[in-house]
Amino acid sequence: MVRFENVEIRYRGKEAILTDVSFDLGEGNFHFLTGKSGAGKSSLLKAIYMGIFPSKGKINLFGRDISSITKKEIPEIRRRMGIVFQDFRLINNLTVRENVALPLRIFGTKSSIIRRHVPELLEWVGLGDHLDDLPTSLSGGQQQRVAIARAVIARPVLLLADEPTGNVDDTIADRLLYLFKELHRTGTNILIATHNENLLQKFDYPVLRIEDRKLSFSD
Amino acid sequence: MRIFKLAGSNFFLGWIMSSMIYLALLAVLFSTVSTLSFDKWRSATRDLVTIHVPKPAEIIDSDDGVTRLDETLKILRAFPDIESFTVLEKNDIERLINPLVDKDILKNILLPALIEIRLKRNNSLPDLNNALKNLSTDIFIESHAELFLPDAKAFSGAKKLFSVIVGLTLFVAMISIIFAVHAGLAINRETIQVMHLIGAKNGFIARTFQKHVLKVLGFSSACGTALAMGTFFILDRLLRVAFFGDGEIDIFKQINLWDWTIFMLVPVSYPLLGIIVAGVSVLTFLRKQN
Ligand SMILES: Nc1ncnc2c1ncn2[C@@H]1O[C@H](COP(=O)(O)OP(=O)(O)OP(=O)(O)O)[C@@H](O)[C@H]1O
Ligand SMILES: [Mg+2]
Repeated sequence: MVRFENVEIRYRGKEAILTDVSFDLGEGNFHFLTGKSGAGKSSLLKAIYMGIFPSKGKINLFGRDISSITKKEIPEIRRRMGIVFQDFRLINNLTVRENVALPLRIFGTKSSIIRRHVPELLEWVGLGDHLDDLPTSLSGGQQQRVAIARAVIARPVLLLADEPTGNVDDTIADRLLYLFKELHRTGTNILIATHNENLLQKFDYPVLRIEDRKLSFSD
Repeated sequence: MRIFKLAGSNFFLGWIMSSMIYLALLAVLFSTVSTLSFDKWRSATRDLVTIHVPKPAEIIDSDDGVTRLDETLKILRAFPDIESFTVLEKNDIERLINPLVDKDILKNILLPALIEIRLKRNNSLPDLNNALKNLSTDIFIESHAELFLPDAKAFSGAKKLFSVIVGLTLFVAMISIIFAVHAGLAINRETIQVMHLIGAKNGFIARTFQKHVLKVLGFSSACGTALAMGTFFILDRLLRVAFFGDGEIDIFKQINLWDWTIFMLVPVSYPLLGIIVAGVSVLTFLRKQN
């Protein structure tokens, strides 16, 4: 599914953030990614969704070496991923409902299906009363749930979630984790970046830990 | 879905497009109408000549008491290529120059007789000229078609000017679209980035932009057309009152289906070309960017 081989990540003109990172996430996995603030969690996710390319090493995605992927192929590969951005990146022009519908529209899903599925999911994440609100009128935690709904609406093969529970209370965090578990059960591979140790303890999934630019693995 | 924020550039684009379509339509309409009027005018005057017979009452043959006018008419009757002729009554002549000259003066000057002739063929004019010159060298033939020759030049110049105006409006319209699209791309940079990350292809982003642009263009096009029709209707009324008297010329009735088709081409083709230009601008921008 996702394989890193001796990957180094650095932003242009800066020191490397991650060096010699190797791991292999096979089919049917559910992992946490943790590390201190500024350790490079978001950067590692970014490398997976091809927002940044490694300065050294190899990344293999869905069986393809990403250095062999052409610009034209990138959209097709990204469609197999759902991404929850740490800063949500909702489109402020669009209502909650339209934001969540956007991936389906991009993929060309039938309107009738969109009309049915989107409210269902939003109901599930507790935003049934905010379908036609604009993101700017929502609280941080509510916006985060919109971002999660948008990432999972198209049933991605791989879900990358960056601090998906960072702005919500424990009850909602549990509910969201339950949603992720449900997705995992139906075949989505999941990688959640978090520095919330409680979460790591409560849910017993294997953990990738970034420390001093290196990645370690613990079950 | 309004994915992109375009408020400012929309307003700008709407104004420019409405004005350009309005201007182009006026140019097309004026061009059509001037062609129609000119054609009508020309066909009305082509075979028309006026003969000035100075001192018409002068007796030129003292035996029979034949006047110069009588003799002229005799020649005209014998001339084969004349369809019809009318001697303008003294009253008519006076009426023609009345606004220019004082009544009292009019009584005291000797007016030439005017004969208006419709020829069967325009090229029989030299023959007629010869026939009359034998009678008196003072007789003077005035061809209406020749009178309007300078106007014909002005007319073709005006037509060229109208085409240049149409071309210019199209140019300004398309440049504005490119400008508005680039402004839109800059404002919506982050949204475009998110769409790319979700898996949108450049084509989808371009189509979304085109939909936005089409809405603006459709609206502007309707506004521009309505304004042009309104302006033209008012002008038509004013012209009729000023020059033609009522009912004599109805420009709207003379414009045929073909002219209307040309006319409608502007409000249809500008938006169509516009969305093509918008789509191409978005695609080239995105291709250069990543
Ligand atoms: N676009 C960028 N350009 C340059 N440097 C960057 C960029 N994004 C992140 N960095 C740097 O890379 C390092 C890792 O950042 P990253 O966002 O990956 O950390 P993180 O583990 O996600 O932190 P947090 O837990 O606070 O979200 C930081 O030192 C940051 O300053
Ligand atoms: Mg981060």
